[in-house]
This record gives sequence, C-alpha cells and structure tokens, in this order.
Amino acid sequence: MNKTIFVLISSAALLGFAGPVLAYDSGVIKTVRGQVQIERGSRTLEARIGDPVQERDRVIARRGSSAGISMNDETLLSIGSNSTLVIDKYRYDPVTRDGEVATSILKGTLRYVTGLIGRAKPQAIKVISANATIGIRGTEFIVEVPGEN
Amino acid sequence: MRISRPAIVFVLAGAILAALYFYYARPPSERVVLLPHPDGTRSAIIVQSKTGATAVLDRPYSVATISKTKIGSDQTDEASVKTRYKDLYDALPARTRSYLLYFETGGTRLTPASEKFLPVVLGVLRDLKDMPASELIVIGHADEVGSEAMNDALSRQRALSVVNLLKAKGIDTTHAAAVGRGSRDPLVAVRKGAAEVKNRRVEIRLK
Repeated sequence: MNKTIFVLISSAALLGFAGPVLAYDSGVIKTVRGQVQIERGSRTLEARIGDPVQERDRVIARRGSSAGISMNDETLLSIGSNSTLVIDKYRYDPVTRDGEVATSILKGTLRYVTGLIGRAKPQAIKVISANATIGIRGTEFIVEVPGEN
Repeated sequence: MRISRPAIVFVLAGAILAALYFYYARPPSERVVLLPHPDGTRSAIIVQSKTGATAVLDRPYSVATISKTKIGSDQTDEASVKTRYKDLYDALPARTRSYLLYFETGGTRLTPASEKFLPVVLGVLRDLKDMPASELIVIGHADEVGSEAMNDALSRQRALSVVNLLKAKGIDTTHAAAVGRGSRDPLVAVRKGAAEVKNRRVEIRLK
C-alpha cells in the first residue's frame, strides 16, 4: 500500500518535472513571417514564435510566408513561401545522442541544417521530397519541390 | 517563295504551344542544393529518386535536379542561392552558441580559470536574453576516472550545478535543460581511466 503510493507520487513528480522538456515536443518554432500554421491531428493552429513542434506535425507556410524551427538536437529547418513540411519521425536521446529524424517536404522550399543526431549518425537522417529521398553525410542543403501552382 | 499566312500562323501557334508545354505542362524539376559547412568541414548528400537513380553531391553549391524519370546535375553559386532562396536564409533560426566551463576533479567546483571566465559567459547570456524563444541546454561531462554510472551521475550534477549557478546570477533558467553525458564524449582522447581537465566540463549551449 505504502509502496504503491510512493510509486504514484514519485512517477507524478518525475512526469511533472520532465513534462515541459521531454513530453513529446520535438522542437520549437523560432521564426515566423506572415501566415504559418501547424496541423496536428484534426486541429489547425496558428504558429507563433515559441510554439512547440511535435512528431507528425505538418507545418504550412502560406504564400509570402516563412518559418524557422529548431529541433531538440539543434537540427535547424526553415521553410519558404507556399511550403508544407511534415515531421514524420523524431526521436532523440540527449544523453546518448541516439535518435532518428525523418521529414518530408511536400511542396515549396526547405533549408536543412543537420543537428547533433546527424553528426553522430548520419544514416539516421532522412529527408523525403515528392520524387526523391535525401540521405546525408554531415551536411546542410536546400530542397525545392515545385507545387501544383 | 511566298509563304501563306495560314502556314505562318500555324508554325507560330505550334511554337507557342511548345513553349507553353515546356513552361507549364512539363512538370518542373525538384532541386537539391548542397550548402557548405560554416566551419569548412567536408559534407555530402546522397539523392535517390523514386526510380532508384542516385546522385552524390559533394561540392558546395552543386545541384541535383530530379524529375519523375531522372536525376540531372548542375552547379550554382553562393550569390544565386542566396537570391533565389532569400526567405530560407532569413527564416533560419540562429545557430547554437556554446561556452565551456571546466571543473576540478571529482566534483562540481569550477577550475580557477573557468571561475574567471564565468562573468564573460554571464555577460553574453544577459545580452542575448531577448533572443526569440531562446533555450539553454546545459550539458555536463566527466573524465574517464571512475565507473560509467558514477560519471553519468557526476556529469549530471555538474550540469545542474551550472543551471543553479546561472539562476543565482539572475539568468532566466525556465527554459533550461540539464543533461549529463557521463564520459561518452571526451574533448581530448586519453587512455582509459586517465584524469583530464578538458574532459571535466559543462557546455552551456544557447539556442
């Protein structure tokens, strides 16, 4: 009985402490210009500086807009006008620096600056565009995917 | 020889249609551009199309153009890239800045040199406190003296002690995370079990 309560309290304390940092936030929106939205499940949120980015989020910059994201492992992403980026997979252990990052640029432009995961394990980084897959060897690059209009 | 007017119209219309086709109907290629590393180290990417064709980009500003059926290659330069993708350059978050503090052996006491350096770090952190949505990541490290479990704990204690120190000096630590990496990431390679001040450190990373 006592033991159960202790376990409950300590896990609550642990969750409460780890919550804001570890929860399931994969990154933070650092720059926003114009109209930028985050689609999370069935919800659409207006992105503002400081907002968290999570695995499976879709980040959309409308025409004339742009956004910058810093992931937990210091991967830096920016998307330009009329762009849609999906965080397909994000896993990062800050102690071992083990992890995995998969993103898709469905349309528009993406600048990608590899972070700490990629420095240790380049094969853990994948960027997918409409027609191609990009693997890295410690790198920065730009991808442009022309849209329908 | 006289060319009939309908023939000219026909040829012109054909040319315009062909031009329209090349500008609009033919799907434009995707582009991937390799950028140089800011620190000058070599880098490369591998682009693989859905049809299985691959291209390796290993020169700064080399370009892969990808259509449904093939990958082409091209070369561009810094000025063109910065013009064409200006919004991507403007929108990129600031790169991480990192500062190192070193420790006396076995505990959380700074070396005299790092004590002296501390005000410089504090000054920078105060100047940058208005950076949009800034985050502090404080990473502790231990040298290779002692067991792995001990070094994991010690490195975390070092990180936490620096977070507390920053807080005591008036730095906002609400968005600070402390991480202990044990002896996984020595700055200086030494033989197993050797003491090394450069490896007893805390990195303060501001992003």
